[in-house]
Amino acid sequence: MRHWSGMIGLALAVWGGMSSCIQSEPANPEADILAFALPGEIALTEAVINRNDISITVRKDADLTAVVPIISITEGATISPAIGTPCDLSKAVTYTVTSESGAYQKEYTVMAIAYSFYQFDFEHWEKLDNKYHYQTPIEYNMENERVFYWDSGNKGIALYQQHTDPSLYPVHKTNVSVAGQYAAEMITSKGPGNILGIVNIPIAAGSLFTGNFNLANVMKDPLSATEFGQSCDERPLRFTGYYKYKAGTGDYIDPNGKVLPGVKDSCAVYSVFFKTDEKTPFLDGSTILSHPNIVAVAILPSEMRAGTPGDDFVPFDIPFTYYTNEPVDFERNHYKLAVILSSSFYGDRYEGAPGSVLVVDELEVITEK
Amino acid sequence: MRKRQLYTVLLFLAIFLSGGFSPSAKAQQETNKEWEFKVYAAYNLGGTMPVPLPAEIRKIRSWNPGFGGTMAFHVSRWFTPEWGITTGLGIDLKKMKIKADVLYWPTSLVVGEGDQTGVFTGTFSGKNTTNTRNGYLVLPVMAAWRPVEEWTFRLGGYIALQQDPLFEGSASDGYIRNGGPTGDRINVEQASFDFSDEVRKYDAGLILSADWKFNRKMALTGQFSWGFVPLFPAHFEGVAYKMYNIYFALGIAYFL
Repeated sequence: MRHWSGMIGLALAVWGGMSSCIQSEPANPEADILAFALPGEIALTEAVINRNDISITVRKDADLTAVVPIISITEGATISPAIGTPCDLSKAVTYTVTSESGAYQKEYTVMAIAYSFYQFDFEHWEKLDNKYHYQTPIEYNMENERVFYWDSGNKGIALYQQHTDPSLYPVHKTNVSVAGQYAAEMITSKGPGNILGIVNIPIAAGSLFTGNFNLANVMKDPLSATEFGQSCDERPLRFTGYYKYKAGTGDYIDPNGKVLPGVKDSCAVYSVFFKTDEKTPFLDGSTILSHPNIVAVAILPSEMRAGTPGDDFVPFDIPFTYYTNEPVDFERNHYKLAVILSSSFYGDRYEGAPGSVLVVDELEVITEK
Repeated sequence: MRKRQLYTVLLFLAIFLSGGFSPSAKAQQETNKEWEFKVYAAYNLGGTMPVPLPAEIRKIRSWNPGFGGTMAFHVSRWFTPEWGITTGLGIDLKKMKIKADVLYWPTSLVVGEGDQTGVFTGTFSGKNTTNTRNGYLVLPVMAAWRPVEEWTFRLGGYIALQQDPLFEGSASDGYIRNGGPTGDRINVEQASFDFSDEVRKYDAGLILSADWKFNRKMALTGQFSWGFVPLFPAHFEGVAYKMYNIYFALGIAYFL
């Protein structure tokens, strides 16, 4: 009896001892801009925070020279220029956030976008993140400033694979191009398999799209990570460009890592025009071809998705099919346009055939002026 | 096979240390005084933990020692009625299951399989569960002090060989910042880890014990052991802090 009570007492003492060793809370090392907004008479949308870049679509006629943005940051952190300071958003503005601990700083570049982009030549590629070596296509606006329009699945791959050669990532530039120096190449390969018991990724497809790859819920719900679309201010008519595609010759693997016999891989080359609202600021992997807010879609027909003959680029010109009789009204509504490219059509569900290669160049969405 | 040879060597070593001196006929009569043999069984309470607890551990929600214990055979040679030396051989199962809240806990995890294996590095904030069960073969060498007949205190060191490692757990209800506090924030609902293969094959440290003889043949025994060898080798980055085996064993000894 004494033996047991002694033991229980001792257990409590050990636990108590460990608990009393808890030190005071470390100063917050995080330094984030959590939200960024502009007054309603200036901004058309919420800001998109993609790593260290904040882009926000503004009205064409807005006066951007002395705007006071609404900013929220990590608790305890400080920001420079200070919150409440008017800034001139007619050009890119840099904010520096310093963590409460003082040990970390994060620099953000805010870019107001007044004009949408409809031509993509994939000539400019940059590292989006200093730590990782993969590259992403960059657009330039009329002031010759960098605009982050594209994002890719490379961001997810880089979480666990830190290649130093950018061409080893599933999405990369290639100098086999239609015009200019580069084109965009996407490759499907074997995935990492099981990730920490959370998710099984048997296949990693190269995917490139206009929008933002948001890593926050990539583990829990990968299809929600792809936030498709950028602001669109003209009615799209046709989607044109050049592509070449070879489906992987090996086994087609399903999301459980099983081989689906007789199934051939196919590529994704499509563009979706949709209306946004408070509940739907963007479409994601699960809604991009099915959401009721979709206005029009231009998608490469299935026989063209299967592959292209020989080694040459094949031109395509697909009209947008409108799914609604509701007139497109840029005064009353806000719209987005997404361009989505992948070396495996169902790559977002982690299925496809390793070895599939898609190359695209000189894309254009032809709009009604 | 190697494991079995090792056991054999250690067993012979123990026999040599205990009986190998083959006491003379004259001394035989005093064996009871000069030599002391005991077996004991004890329940292990403690933890495999960083010392001191780093500030990143915010709260210990629960601690469960599980059913782990020590069984050992000890031999003491008394040079005077008060002073002697003790050695022996034991099996020691060190278990712990701990649930804690952590904040900005640095980790580096190997993820994926085969040639697609990669490394995921970052700081985790959320709930952590760690489950350890490490079985050791232990050889102690201690100085023994017996100020009175009922009480014996011992102080010394031990070396231990890992036989059956387990170090696994989960991270949940939180988020990881990829690459560090300024990296991408990734929500983690439930993730698991298993570092069993990384656990070091040996341990060595300090051992401190007390026996209280409550009759001629039996004693209550308490033993504190503190490992000085970190549980994981230096190159391993899954746990950013050095973890040590710190355990208290409470049990009953029987004198042969």
